[in-house]
Amino acid sequence: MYPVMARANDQRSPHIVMTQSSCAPTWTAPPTGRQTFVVENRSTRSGAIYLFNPFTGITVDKHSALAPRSSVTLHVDLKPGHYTWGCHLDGEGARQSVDVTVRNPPVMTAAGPTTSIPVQPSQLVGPVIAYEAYVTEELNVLAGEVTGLQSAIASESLAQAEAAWLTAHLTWQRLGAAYDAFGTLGTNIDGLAPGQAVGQAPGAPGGSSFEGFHRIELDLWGEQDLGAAAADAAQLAANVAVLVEQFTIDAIPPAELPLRTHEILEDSLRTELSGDDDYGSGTDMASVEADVSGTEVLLHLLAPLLKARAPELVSRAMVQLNRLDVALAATMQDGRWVAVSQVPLSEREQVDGAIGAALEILAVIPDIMPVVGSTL
Amino acid sequence: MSFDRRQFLRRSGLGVVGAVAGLAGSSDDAGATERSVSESDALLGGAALAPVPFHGAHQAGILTPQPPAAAFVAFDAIAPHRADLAELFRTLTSRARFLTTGGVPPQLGVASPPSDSGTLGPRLPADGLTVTVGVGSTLFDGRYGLAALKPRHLAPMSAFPNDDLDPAWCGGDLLLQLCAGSTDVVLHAMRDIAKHTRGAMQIRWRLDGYLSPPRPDGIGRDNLGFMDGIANPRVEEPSVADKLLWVVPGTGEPAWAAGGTYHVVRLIRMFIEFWDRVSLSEQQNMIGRYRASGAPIGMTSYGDVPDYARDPYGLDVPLSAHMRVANPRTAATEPSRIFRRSYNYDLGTDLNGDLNMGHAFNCFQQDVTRQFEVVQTRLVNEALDDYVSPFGGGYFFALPGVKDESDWYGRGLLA
Repeated sequence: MYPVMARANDQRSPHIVMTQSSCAPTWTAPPTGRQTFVVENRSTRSGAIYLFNPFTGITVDKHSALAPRSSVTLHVDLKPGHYTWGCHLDGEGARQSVDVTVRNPPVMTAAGPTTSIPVQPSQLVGPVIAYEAYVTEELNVLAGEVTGLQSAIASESLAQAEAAWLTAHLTWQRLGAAYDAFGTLGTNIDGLAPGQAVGQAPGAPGGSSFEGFHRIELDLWGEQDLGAAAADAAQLAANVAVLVEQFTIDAIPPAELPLRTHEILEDSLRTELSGDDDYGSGTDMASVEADVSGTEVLLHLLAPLLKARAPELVSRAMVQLNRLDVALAATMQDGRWVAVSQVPLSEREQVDGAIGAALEILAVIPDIMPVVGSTL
Repeated sequence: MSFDRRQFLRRSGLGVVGAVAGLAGSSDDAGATERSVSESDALLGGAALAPVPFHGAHQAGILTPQPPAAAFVAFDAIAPHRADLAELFRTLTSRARFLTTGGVPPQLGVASPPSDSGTLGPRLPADGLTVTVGVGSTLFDGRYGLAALKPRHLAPMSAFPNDDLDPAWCGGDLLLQLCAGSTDVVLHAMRDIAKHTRGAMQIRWRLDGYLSPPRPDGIGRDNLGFMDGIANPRVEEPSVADKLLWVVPGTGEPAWAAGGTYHVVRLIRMFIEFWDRVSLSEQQNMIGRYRASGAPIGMTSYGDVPDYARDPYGLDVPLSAHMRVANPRTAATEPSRIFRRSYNYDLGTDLNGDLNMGHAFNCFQQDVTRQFEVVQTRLVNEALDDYVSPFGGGYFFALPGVKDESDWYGRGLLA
């Protein structure tokens, strides 16, 4: 802001050079904070030089009349953003330098070195479209599997009905990132009994509007009532059909994607690894495995954006997610999933430790890619 | 199914805005309805204890005078390989060094959730925090190739005849004893350490402890109402400590263990409702001291030293009294003395309405076999057994101290 005549000790500061034919040809991104630039006019005319944001047009600093063969020192406080030099020699047209992006210096987190760089909603259009395609495909698979569940219930084989329930429920779990996009329908499909206290039988007083996968889980494993299961599965099929019909790209706000990369597994830790949502099937460990798949889909879609902000994040996260998959598979007993409470402590520690380590890494994602204009 | 904390936060944010707007609209009432912060602060303490030096030949939290708050936290190591285990011990060292020193946590800016939980405010007080790290015998199984380096007397905790041990409350590959001037500082340290070590160790059990202030003098009382831990060996004298407390060269221990000590934690439930229905004289005869003064029976002050040679038939301190059996004060029993540093605990309520309260018995010694096990064996079937129930804990080896900035916990074991 306060130009002074350049002195010898300014030699370590970047020199911004204006010539007859070029404007700051060596301009590269400095770090944030207070920076010093030595601005030189090597031409034979006097002229103006200014630092500005090419997107907003706002000028952050300016020296209007720099004499030929002279230089001044500029001190500027740089915030993260875009910066370009403009040069205007008397009697010449204006020239400008390349645009550089000034960023906060990386900090060390569980995800390795990380920098926060805002994301334009337009940069998320690709991932959102790809994610919508994934969800659409999986919803169609789900609809078929719910029909399969109805057939298995109609065949009056409890074992087949239970197997079909698990197949369909895991497909639903893999859609984890889309929970919020499904609104009330999502609750109708996979909600828990309302107001249920831990240890209280679901469907007890107060559980009036309890339907969906967990209601059927209770019908099959708890009540062993295929008649009730048939009615509840028909309701589930109707809800899934509505969802298939209604689901559109608009249902996924772009800012949801970064949030969901860690919130899927926060949900796994809180409701599945606690056993709180187990209404008899003992398949929470399988649900977490499906949640890991859903998380990996999102990580893959966001990988290019993440790489620019935390180059080690995806590989570090994958180490822990792979470890989590191994730990989950190890909890099976004789090829069957068992309830969380039936898994020995040493095996649960492996699962809980791996998911905790994964979450510490994934938790930085919403912070390093804030979506411009989002209030999430 | 999903929980959307951000939506929740948004909603609460709106709530706050609404509340503020409401206040602004009726500012005349604000002074009358809002209690001032200074008024509500008046009842709080807040003076923090000075930092306890972290570096030294021995770990802090052993000879350190006991501050009032503690936590005993046992972990299982889940680090995949030995190199990861070494990394865990380095991380433990750097966290403990930082937390016990206090200061301002690193600012990560907007690129990450905050580096600190914030429960102690922006500047962490040391508040006398000590982090004492021990290892259990299970760390020396086949997983990390450490079998040959196991301290000679380290084994799973023995189950004594009247114990009621619950595996969920026993053992652990590591033990952290956290002590500080107040509970929030202890819990902040536990939370910080757990966050930084996820994927490398997982909490197996934990119990918070508290120390009562001396009332009216002497030492704090246990949940039976008695002064516990009065008679400790004078381990602040190096000649005593080298005989009773620290592992020293020549004891047949692995070289890395010198400067460490065996750490025993026994979680002992006390049936206080039953105890409170026992006559005072019976209580005192079981313990061997007067409840009010803490003095040995027949003497006047808690600091008085009983002379059992002059009381061979137990006319003052009964021969069966806990204090007399635990420490008969003979030349033959002197090498079995232990250094006690126990806390009380309070843990909610039982199904039958009884209060779950008791004692986190905590002691250090040079040789767990020669000391704690011998003392506890002498105590088997003591009268007090009817009023207590040991349900958990473990034997650990408290590592040698971290000597300087370049040293780390267990370097001699893992480097």
